[in-house]
Amino acid sequence: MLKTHNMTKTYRTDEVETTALDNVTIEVEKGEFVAVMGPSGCGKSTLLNIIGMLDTPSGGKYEFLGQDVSGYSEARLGGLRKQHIGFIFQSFNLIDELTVKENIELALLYHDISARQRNIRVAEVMDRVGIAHRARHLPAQLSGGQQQRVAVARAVVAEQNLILADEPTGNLDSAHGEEVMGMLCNLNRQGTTIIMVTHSRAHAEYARRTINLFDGRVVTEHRRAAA
Amino acid sequence: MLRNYFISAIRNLLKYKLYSFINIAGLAVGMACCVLILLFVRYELSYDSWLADSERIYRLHTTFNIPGRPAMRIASSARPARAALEKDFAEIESAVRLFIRSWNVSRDNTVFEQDIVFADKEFFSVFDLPVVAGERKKVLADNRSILLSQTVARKYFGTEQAVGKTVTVCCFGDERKVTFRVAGILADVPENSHLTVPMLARLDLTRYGEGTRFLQPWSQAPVYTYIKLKPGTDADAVRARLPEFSTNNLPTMEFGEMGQLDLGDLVHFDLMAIRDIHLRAVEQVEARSAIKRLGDISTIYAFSAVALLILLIACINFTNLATSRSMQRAREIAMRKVVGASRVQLIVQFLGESVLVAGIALIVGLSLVEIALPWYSAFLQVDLGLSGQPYRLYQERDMLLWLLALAVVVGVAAGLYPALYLSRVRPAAVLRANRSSERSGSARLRAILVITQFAISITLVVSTAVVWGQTHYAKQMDPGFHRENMLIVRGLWHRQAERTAESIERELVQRPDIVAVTRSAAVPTDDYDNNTFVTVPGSESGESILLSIRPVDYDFFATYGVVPKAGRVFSPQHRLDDWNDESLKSGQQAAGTVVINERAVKRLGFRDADSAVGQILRVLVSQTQAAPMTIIGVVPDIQLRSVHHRIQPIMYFRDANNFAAMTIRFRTDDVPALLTDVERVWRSALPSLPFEYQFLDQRIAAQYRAEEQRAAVFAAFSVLAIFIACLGLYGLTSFTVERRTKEIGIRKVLGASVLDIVRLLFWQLSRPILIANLIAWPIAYWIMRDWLNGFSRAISLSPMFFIGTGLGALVIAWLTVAAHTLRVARANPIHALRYE
Repeated sequence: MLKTHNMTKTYRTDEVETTALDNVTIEVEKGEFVAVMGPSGCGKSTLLNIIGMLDTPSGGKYEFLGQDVSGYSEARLGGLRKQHIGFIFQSFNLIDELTVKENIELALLYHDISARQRNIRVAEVMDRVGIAHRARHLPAQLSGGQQQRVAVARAVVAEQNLILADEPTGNLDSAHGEEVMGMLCNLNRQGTTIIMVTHSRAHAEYARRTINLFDGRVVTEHRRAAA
Repeated sequence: MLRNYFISAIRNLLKYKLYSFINIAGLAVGMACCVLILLFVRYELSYDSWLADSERIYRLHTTFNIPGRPAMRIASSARPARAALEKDFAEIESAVRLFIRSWNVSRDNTVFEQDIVFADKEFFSVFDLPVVAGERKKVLADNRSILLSQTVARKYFGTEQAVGKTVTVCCFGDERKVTFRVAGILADVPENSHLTVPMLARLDLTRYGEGTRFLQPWSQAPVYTYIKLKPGTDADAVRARLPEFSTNNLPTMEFGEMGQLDLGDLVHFDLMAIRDIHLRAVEQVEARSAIKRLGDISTIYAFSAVALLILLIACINFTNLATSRSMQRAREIAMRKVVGASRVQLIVQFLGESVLVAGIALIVGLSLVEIALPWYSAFLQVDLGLSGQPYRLYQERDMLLWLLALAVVVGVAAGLYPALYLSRVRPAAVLRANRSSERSGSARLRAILVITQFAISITLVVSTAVVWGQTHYAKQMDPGFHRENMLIVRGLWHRQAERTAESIERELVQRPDIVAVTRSAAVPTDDYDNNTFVTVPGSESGESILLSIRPVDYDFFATYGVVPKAGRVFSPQHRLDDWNDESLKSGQQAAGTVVINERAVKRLGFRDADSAVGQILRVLVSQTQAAPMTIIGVVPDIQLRSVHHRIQPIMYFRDANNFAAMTIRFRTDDVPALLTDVERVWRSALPSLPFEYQFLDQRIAAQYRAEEQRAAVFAAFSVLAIFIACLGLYGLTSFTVERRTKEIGIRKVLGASVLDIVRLLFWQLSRPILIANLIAWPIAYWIMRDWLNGFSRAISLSPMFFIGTGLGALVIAWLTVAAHTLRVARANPIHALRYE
């Protein structure tokens, strides 16, 4: 699915140069469920952002579906992202002014899909994550678990084949956390590739592979036998 | 997609109410100002364009370049010009001459002095004016018919049927009375015309004893000549052949000492499109030759500029607020990008939002306009709707379409930068930290924009203050003569009045409540501008000098409280002071006498007033003849006309044949009783003449009424400009203060007092306003110096105008943000820090 080779990312503020990623080489196969772990500031989110094409690497190579995208323009990256990648964030990042349904629909808005078709798909995915009864509510009226379910729905409604989840359970209590993990596992079982950044060792257990980052470097990779 | 944009826009507007209010209110007030100003501009531009075929109608203007004289440019032309034009120019479809005179028109016992337009019978083929009664084809067919405008008909006949009745016109002296039959009623010519036609009759001057006045038909310009060109004619091509026309048609003429001159070389013609007359004639011809008070294109430019500037200030508010609250929208933008929105899509979305806001503002603004219109229209005394009906904006579909376009333009102008700016948000940064990705660049831009707003506002306010100051000064200044308690009675130029005026004067002056009575050709404020050439015998250059001439009676200067600087003024004791004295006429005496003003002393080259007295001038008394005149006295320069006019070098003389007005200086509080008595005396002496009076101080004030009106409108719009700018500042501060809560919390933790914080915030606010002052002052100074240069007497550009306005702006800005500043400065730092 995707491959990075000696990928680096450095941030520069006036005089200080910070290396967020240092020669990171990883490969994720189609249908995999990968967890990325590591202490705060180790580069997990940077890695996820680059994989999600929200950011570009400073050096090295990033191949997505067989093409080297490291030199692509923002517009071209946006196109690929729209086609293939869904996101789930720790802080949900729902738009406060839009209802549950509208938030989910947002992910289809920039695709060439008719309004009727959009309604059908949004309704279907709301059913799937069990939020249909809240369709007309605003995010502020929902619990954290419900908000993250909306975020998951938004990430999957466009039927992308890669989901990037950045600490999806970080703001949830354990029950809701489990619920979200269950949903991710389900998606994975249906063939969606998932890369998830997490602090929770327990939730990392759901993944078949865990990549440990430290100071921007991959320190260990640990593969679990298929359940 | 559009629905989603729309929902997002509306919910954002509802959520951030202060922000929405400021944006919408600012834009609405800005648009309302803009619409009000543009309505006025449109009105001024509409002059005569309502007339059928107005694009083909031109007026012939004449320039006389008599050697030694400044060129005289006038709106009228010679009597034979029309026929000659029609002979030489096949392009002319029709032409008409108008001869306009103000004569007494009576019906039974009702007498008014009335403007009568005498026109060739082709009048209606040039001016397609509607007739509400009578037949247009027939009404100018003979010289015994007259048309009255609706208003004049009402004045003379009330509700009676006027057509078929008669009115009597006393023309060129009262022996000649001509009776006209009312043949029709002319619809009132709308106000937005350079023309006024209260009465219309056939031009046939022989009938009124006028024939002898035009012995030299090409050297005088008594008529207004209008031509209508055939469709498709290039007016410039016609214009280009006018010099050739002069050469071919004008004769040679005897010019006294200068000998025979070819008029074709001295008289030039030009055409002015009828639509341009109201606003542009003032640049081409002397204002006094206009039929009606002219407008001024520079006022139109100034007003249009103000409209645009106010709109700009409102747009800046929008831009500033939108970029400053990018933090609030950042997450939405980032999320939209994450799910695949392209930058262009986001730009479209934000532009759409700003156009929506502009649209809402337009609706609010139009409501404000609708509310303000009756007052505004009445104040300007202008028919803004151009329909003669009370103005209703919504009835103008074209106008509304334009306004819609305005909303789109304003929306895009105000929203473009924010759209570009917001769409640049980098999702990775925003989504992770939930922070704005604001760069210092946008803060700098905001500061520049705030400076721009205040620089504009301050320039407007300084200009307004100077305009007010000058207008007030013009009204209040000492013109150099007595102006309170002065009653002016007109009509003395009638031949019968000439004979009785002296007895009226004698009778009046005996009354205890009357201090003095005098007569003169013109009174202060009159548009009187007669000139003659004078030479100073023995002067080195021997040049002819043009002086204004003013016939006045003996006690003119005493009545007006003007004391001579040197020598004496006219007196009945000196026989030679009277220009009509038999001895002068018969040539037995060498010289008459004149009194000159100080400016004339300078112009004539005398060292001072004293040395001028006793000097003899050679004064051109007719086209060809000069006579010696002794200077008997010098009087101070007085402001006879409005301060728009330079004080001319003037020569006064006593010539009873030219008196037209009587000035009565009185001392009483019972003015109505005085008026009744004066009228009784007048009526018993001159029963057939109308008694028309004015008060001098009112006439002086009236000279500046239009200016006062403009100044008031200007002031109102300047205040609104400041208001809009402050609205923006208020919104901006509420956002920056919110964002800086943490910084201020830390400062307080580190020991800053409330006062320190307040001082810091006020100083940071004051800086851009001080810079705005530095930009605005020179601009305002430069514009206003130019403007004041147009007056003969003007206030000085005191630094107080600038410092006062600057301080005012600062104080207003402080008050605007005071509440925010105090709140944030007094807040407990714990809350501030926890908040982050």
